[in-house]
Amino acid sequence: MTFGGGVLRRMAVLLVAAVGGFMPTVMAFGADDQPLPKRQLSDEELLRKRIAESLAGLRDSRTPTLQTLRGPELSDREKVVHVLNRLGFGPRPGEVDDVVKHGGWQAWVKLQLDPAKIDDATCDRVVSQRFPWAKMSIGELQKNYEGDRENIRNLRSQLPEYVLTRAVLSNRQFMELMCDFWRNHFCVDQPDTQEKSRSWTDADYENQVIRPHVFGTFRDMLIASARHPAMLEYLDNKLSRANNWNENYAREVMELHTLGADRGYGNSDVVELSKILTGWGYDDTYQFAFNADWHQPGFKYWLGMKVPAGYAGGVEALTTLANHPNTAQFIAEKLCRYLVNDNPPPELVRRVASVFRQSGGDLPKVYWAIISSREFMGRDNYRAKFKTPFQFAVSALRATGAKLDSAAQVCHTLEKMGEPIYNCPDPTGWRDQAESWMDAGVLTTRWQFAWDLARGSVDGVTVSESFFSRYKSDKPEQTEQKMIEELIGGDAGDRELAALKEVASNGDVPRMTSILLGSPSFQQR
Amino acid sequence: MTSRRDFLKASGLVVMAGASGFMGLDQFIYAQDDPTPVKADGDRQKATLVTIFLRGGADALHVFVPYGDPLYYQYRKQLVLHANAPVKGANKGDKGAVPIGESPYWAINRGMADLLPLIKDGTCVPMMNVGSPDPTRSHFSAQDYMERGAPGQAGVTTGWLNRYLETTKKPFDAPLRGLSAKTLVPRALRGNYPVLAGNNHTEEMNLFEDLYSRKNLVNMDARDGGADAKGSSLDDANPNLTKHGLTADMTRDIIAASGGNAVERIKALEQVEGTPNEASYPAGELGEQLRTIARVIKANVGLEVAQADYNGWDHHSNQGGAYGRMSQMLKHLTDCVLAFRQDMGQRMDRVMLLVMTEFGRTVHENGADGTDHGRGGFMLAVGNMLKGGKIYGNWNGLQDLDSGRFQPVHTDFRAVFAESLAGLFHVDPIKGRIFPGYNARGVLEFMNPVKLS
Repeated sequence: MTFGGGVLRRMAVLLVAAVGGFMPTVMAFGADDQPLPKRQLSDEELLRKRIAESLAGLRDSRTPTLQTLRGPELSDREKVVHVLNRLGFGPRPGEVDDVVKHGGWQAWVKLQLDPAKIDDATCDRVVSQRFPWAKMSIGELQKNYEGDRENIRNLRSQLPEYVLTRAVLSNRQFMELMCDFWRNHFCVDQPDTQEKSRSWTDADYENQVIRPHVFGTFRDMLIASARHPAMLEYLDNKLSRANNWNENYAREVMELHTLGADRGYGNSDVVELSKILTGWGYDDTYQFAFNADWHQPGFKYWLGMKVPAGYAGGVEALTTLANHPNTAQFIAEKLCRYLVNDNPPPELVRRVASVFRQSGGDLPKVYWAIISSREFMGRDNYRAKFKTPFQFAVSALRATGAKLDSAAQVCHTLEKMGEPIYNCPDPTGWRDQAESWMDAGVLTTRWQFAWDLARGSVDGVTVSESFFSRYKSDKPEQTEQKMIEELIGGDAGDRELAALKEVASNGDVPRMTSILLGSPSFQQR
Repeated sequence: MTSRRDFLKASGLVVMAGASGFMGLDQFIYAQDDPTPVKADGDRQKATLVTIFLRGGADALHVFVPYGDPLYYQYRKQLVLHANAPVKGANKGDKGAVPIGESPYWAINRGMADLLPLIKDGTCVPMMNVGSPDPTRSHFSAQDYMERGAPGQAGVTTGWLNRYLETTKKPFDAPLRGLSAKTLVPRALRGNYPVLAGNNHTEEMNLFEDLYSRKNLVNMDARDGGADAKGSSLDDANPNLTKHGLTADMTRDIIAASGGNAVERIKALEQVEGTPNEASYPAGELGEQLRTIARVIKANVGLEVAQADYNGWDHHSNQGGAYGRMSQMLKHLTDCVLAFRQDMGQRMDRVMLLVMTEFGRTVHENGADGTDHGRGGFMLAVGNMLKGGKIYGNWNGLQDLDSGRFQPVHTDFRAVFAESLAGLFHVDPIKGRIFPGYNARGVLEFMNPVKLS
């Protein structure tokens, strides 16, 4: 793909003041046709410029519409590494070889998109032993937890452990990965108090709203979340009543769950949607209940529509949101950002949005539109994402084949890394772009975790001797090569090589493991 | 370079660096194989702002006591602090509070009585009814909003102290302009500008230092072996060929640069290790944090903003009276502040401490020896540049309540933040858009601009 010289010149004079976040001011340093300064840029200046440009890219209308796919096609092995890292939480020891041998990446992806066909007995067994509440109905949860501070405390620490344990152990890796995505999209938090019922209804939310809908339609997940006590409480919709409506949920459902911030709705639409959704709540047994007495009577004029009063009006409104083209665009963009690139190619986003629209938000079809795209497998997007703390911790446990007797300390480490599960301070959910995570000091905590894991000082986690002996060899180069191949997908830079050299000659596999898990390469997916 | 490794093992100080940490790549120049930094920034006599965040929402009325207000004795029965007030309900016995100067209205918790001479000579300034315009009473949100300096604005994710550093950065900044003495960089200091955080990791950090040292970063060609074959454009001399999206190489270099920044700031801190403290700090985390910060200030390496945290102020119960839990914590806070001040000596001319908390608490006690989340709260500044002698903020007595339960917010905390930055660093935080959407200037005028040599 080439584009005109004018575009190139204009692109080159862009410089961005702040990388990410605050004041993304784009300053042009010269008129369009002014020649570039002659001075040779240093590597670092160039790098800085590139990253600033690319991060600013989306906001600039002059951005080329097609990602320039460069470099050779990924090898079959690289494709396997890519899908295991991108569509899951990374390979277990030897898993890349297994997948290469058994049908390659296509066979793996095909199976992952049909999770019911994947045997997950081990994970299910462990989970049902450790987390008996996971099978409880909301009524049973209520009986066991409502108002019981101590019990709620336990549940509150166990829900994150449940999420993490599943992500590590499950063979349904893509399912678990997409749970991470949707859990953040339809974010609720889990407060540490018995006064808020979502301190225990969240357990039901995870198992009834998120997990069953990841391979369903977007509309069904949206409506399930809107009706669930956890969401009704979290965004205050259960407080919303006639002539005293609460705008919190109405605003967030458009801004965060469907249309995207400021995309095609105004403040009066927020007010009207609040009215449309008055009376949505739950009864004493935490079953959804529409309270007609609390419902704002009369038609509402919302997004150019005339919406009738009653529960049906609310369902109509949410369905309208689910089918709205801006929702298709917003969800497509978020999914492409999660699965392809922090700054996804707009052309891909458009294609995926159109699949979303045409399929009525049929999520497996949307996933497949992304996975089967040439952009997904493009060299440019290979290992281009920075792991979130959750992805890092899960991938490290998988890469070392660690035995996970308790996820408690790992979850505690995630808090230190700034990503406690089910405790995002904002209804936005945790962000998945590199720029949001790199500043939190996560690297140094990751170094510590890598070292603790390899020497066996993460409580409840054991990296077995058989993992270390897998790499033992008389020839240090062989040990080194195999570890690089399996732990960081063969992508060692001279940093990794230099750091490994000394340790490799002593045959110290645990130290080599911690170096690799703490290396820049392992932070990428 | 051996000294650097030894330091890493010994000191327990580690760094958190910003995402665009590489913005700081050129900020520090090292002579080849010589760990002594050569600073391009000549002005080392910097002013410094040290914030102390009391996490949990400290009860302002237990700090500054309106002992001359008869309503006080109606709202507070269990928690009441007496100071011999000639009003109904006041008790002449147990002195839980000490009048501020001759004030017939204001007293200070007895645990903080040692601050009275400072309040008198004008170097300690109390502020009341300060807080967030956003009504949230969630700790998480309120702390976040305060540290971001952007109440109610979910879109602003960087901290106000970091934005100050970012908007004033120069090509050759000192490496330690910002510092957190805690394990994680607090929100106020997070953002694009690389900031150091103290940490108790000591073991084996040298392994990772090798991985992230700057030396390897410049060696980009060799890094991937077949960079060309993979389509990397980093070694491409033509900057025109920009691409869309972050590539693996870019991502890795951001990661490496972030780690590299950490390593570099540790090296800078190494210089500071030997700086002696001239005060004895109370045992505990806060004293330890202030001791570290003081050392960096005294080393004149250009520290401008630092934050220390003090947890545990959420006194729904067990708040206690004159000798209770909170009074003891205030005593500890005061001892730490005074140790820091003694350690700083004349430097307090250009160093300001700013104590804050995310919100105040209910004016009514809750019947469980405690108070619940409220709105307006207090701040406390210490430094020789302050225009002391009074309690700042708009106070209309205890009949002036928000929702009938809370101290009202009459002063946006951003007013205090903005004036602190302006007075200490001679910047215009409003023009510099450090507080998005906030435009007020000169609200309290509680300090004189710092004169730098």
